Amino acid sequence: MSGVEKFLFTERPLEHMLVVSSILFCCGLLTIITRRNAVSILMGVELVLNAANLNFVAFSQFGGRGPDGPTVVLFVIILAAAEAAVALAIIIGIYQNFGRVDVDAATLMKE
Amino acid sequence: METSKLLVNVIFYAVAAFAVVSAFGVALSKNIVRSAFALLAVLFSAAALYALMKADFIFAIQILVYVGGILVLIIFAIMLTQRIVDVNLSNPSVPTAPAVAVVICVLLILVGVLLANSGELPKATAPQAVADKPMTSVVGEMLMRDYLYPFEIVSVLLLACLIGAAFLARKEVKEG
Repeated sequence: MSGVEKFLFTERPLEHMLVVSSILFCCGLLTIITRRNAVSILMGVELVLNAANLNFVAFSQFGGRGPDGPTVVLFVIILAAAEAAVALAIIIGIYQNFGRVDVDAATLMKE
Repeated sequence: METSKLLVNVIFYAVAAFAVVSAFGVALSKNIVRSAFALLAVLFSAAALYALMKADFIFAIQILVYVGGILVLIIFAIMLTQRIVDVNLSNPSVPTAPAVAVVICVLLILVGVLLANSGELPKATAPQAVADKPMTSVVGEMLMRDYLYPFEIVSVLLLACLIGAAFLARKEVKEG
């Protein structure tokens, strides 16, 4: 086996998946920190959840951790869907009350 | 190197690069609709990575729920809350220096810890957990046996979420 070949995906799949999911996580974090639009922040949260899901499946498949990982990923996806539905309902409520979806503008609990 | 291994490597690096570029698009794009479509690309490439890890069930669920459900909801919310014509105002991003510094530090810590401990990570090169049968049957058995309580609780949560979202998003009817 040559020198480069030892570091390719087929030899070290777990590390490669973990690096990809770290980068996705950091992009999600950057989105959450820097955006002011509530819908954009929600997109950042979805990115972070996807990074976590990738880790779960990678550790389950390449780490010898049994089939618990995919089952947990199923629950995470269900919770992400529920969270997106309620968050978007709240965002539409904010839009009706404040006229925009800037999270800095939504400072009141009621009019 | 055999052809099949070479092919897997090429596919992985292409998909991973696509995912990373699209994720930066989500974080940095000026236009919120472009952000949403970059998120679509990230979700599809995550699905491709699941397929590469032989997680067929999660692959299908990712496309059905994330791409078919959550992304459509997000695009609906954008269309309902933005005046689409003024694209330049639609997605204010304030990438301040401290925020970027914090994110870069987090990334360096994550990758640093990973590389420092990579000797202790499992060395498997092929998917193991559910290699011999389809993932759907394995996950189904887990749901009916070990994860029965979470399964039931999630069904109640979905009902509550349905009612709550419908209640929050309704139009207020003014009395009198």
